Amino acid sequence: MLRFIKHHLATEDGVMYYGLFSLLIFVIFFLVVFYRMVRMKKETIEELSNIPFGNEETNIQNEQR
Amino acid sequence: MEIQTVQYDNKIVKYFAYATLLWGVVGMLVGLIVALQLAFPEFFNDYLGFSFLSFGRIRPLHTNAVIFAFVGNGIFTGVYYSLQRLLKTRMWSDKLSVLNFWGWQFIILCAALTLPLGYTTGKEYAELEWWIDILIALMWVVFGWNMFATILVRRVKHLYVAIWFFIATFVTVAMLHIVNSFELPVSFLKSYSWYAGVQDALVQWWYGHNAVAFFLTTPYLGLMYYFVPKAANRPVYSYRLSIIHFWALIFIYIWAGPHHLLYTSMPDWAQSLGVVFSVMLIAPSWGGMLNGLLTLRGAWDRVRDDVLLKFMVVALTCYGMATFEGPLLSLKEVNLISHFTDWTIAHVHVGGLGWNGMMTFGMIYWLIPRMFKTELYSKKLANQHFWIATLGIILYAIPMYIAGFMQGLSWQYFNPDGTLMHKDFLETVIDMRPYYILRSIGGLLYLFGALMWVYNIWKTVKIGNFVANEEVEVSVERHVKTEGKEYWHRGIEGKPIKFMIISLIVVAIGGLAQIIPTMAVKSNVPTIASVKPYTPLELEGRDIYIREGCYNCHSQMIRPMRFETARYGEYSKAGENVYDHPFQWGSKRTGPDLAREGGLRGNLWHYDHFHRPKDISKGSIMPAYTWLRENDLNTELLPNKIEAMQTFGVPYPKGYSTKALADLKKQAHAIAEDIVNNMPAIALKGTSKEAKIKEIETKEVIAMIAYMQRLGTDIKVKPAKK
Repeated sequence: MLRFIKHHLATEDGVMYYGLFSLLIFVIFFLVVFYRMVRMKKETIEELSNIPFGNEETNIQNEQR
Repeated sequence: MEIQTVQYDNKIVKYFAYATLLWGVVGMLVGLIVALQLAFPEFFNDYLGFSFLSFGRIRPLHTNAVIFAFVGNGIFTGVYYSLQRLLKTRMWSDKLSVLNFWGWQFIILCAALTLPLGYTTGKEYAELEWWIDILIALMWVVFGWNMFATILVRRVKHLYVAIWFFIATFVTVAMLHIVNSFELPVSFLKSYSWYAGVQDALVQWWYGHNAVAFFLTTPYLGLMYYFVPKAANRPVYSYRLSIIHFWALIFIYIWAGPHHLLYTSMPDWAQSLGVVFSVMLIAPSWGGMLNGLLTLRGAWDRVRDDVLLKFMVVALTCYGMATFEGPLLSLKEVNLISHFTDWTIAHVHVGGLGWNGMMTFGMIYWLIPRMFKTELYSKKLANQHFWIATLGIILYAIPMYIAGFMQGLSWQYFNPDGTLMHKDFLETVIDMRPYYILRSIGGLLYLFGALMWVYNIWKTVKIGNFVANEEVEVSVERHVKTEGKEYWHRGIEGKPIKFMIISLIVVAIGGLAQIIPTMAVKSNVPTIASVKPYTPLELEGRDIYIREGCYNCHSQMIRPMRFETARYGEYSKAGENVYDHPFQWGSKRTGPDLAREGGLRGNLWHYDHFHRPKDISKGSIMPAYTWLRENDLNTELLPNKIEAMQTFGVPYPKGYSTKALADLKKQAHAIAEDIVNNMPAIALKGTSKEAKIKEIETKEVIAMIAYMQRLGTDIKVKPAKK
């Protein structure tokens, strides 16, 4: 694997692709997380955000509504 | 749903909270002392000129104390409290909790003893010696083991976002600490960094930057996601935002380390990567900040009356400011002014005092009354603490910003004739004094506020009744099936070990991407034929330089700018540092750069200057290193040191370790002879020259001078050759 990196980093052009590749990994990763997040159901979100208010205490959000 | 009774362990939370109070005050007090040393150097020189109190040794004590002792114990306090409640499960093992507590306090004690005595690895925020590093790794594993075991036996179905932050903190800190702490021991109290020069710098700032990210930020974001909703009595503003900002934050943060090394001799591609990811970092950082602040939407009126919310709002605001400033500072143009100046000091203190400090104060104010089943002793006092602390932050930061701008700009000014306007670096130091005094006042106020905090908590503890095991009835939801499809994130949340591995992969990508090529590609560090290993005396001198923490005030890195080369000489090349275990580029110039110090001044000048800097350079704030003339150079470890260097591949001749001492003595004698020959007769005080040479040639100062005279001279020998 190192040989592979070595080869491509031997010149300045190789380094440029290396940076772009890094950015690309992030963008793909971000888009996947973003897509999955947007698709989440509202009820699930509500349930999750209420976790700190466990059942030993009253569910504050419902009380306020 | 099955109902079970759980007993939460409050005792361990109490222990860690007390430790947070104690080390908070100690860390801030040491901070105040170092601030006063810069504001009133004469006083410290005349009355408190002890080696163990000198700036270079005490400043690392301050940074280590506030990061690992104050914030470290704060993390454990918050995690041990919130984790049990979020998982509806007592900590898996009380024994591990207690071991974690005492182990961590023992480490802090070792740090408090070794650092002032000069036992240091010379790498910022990772100064502790090798065996303490091993202890840290062990205690961290104890903490992680207990946390994961608790997660595995939890009674809830979902892992709340705070816990993701705790998991990411655990894996990343473990990775950073282990990789950066590779060192070769030469004795119980001395080791050398495995890496050298540029590579050491890259690994160190990959660690240093992410110590901020994963010790000061992610665990506190986790705490924020628990305590802000609890204190505000309302759920977090957007759980969706928390998911996306969590993954983006841990992915991006790890890449940003090289922004600490802009314009240095680190490869340009690594610098550029660091800049791009640093700028991107603003989005997830502000995602967290806004999520915290917007949790208070519609409840802002309560912030006026509720002192805890005030602390948290200021904490989040400071987090927002610091994370806006961070990307700004990593732009090359801004960094050119800010780097090596007090601007960086202002930046970290907005984060440290504002974000970590205020969040810790708020959290402890919230926790203690609950665990002691009482009200806070005095809300009025807490309110006064809030205002004093806020004023302290402002009074600290503003003078440091002004000082930073002034330094950064005045180093760059040229006269119309092309000469430097402030050729004498000292001018730019003397100008800083009013700001150093103001900063000390800011620090004093903040410390005073912390004492009010301790008093308030102490009084609360006295009136309350501590519940060591808090009994609650909880429903067991873990195995309850959800109707329809499970939500996607549960696939990893439900399996904490898988979650940890994915987090590790996410954070490792950035680290590997930067470190592997720098290690593997030879062309990243062009070799310079004239660069030779240090002589034995220089090596010993370098170890004294590290021991005294000179890197806290002096850089060894001349950037390739006209204003830098006009002041210091030829810019630094990566190949010049190939034998530097560890690198000593530094991050702050309270004194001038030393990369080309060699040969600039005579040996006698250095001999006198180390002894009484302010007499030689009028207005100097450098401590007087009187003990360097008094202490005999200890050469006991020299053969081991040479062998250690040979292990790293430093090309000393075979079997040199046995011959090194003779060479050392020869060089020491030559330097001592030169000093004595140039001394005015009056300085000999009636002793013969021979006797004087004999007297001084064995002293530590001679080794230090040898190192000073070597700095940056290699490339002067012959032109740089690739």
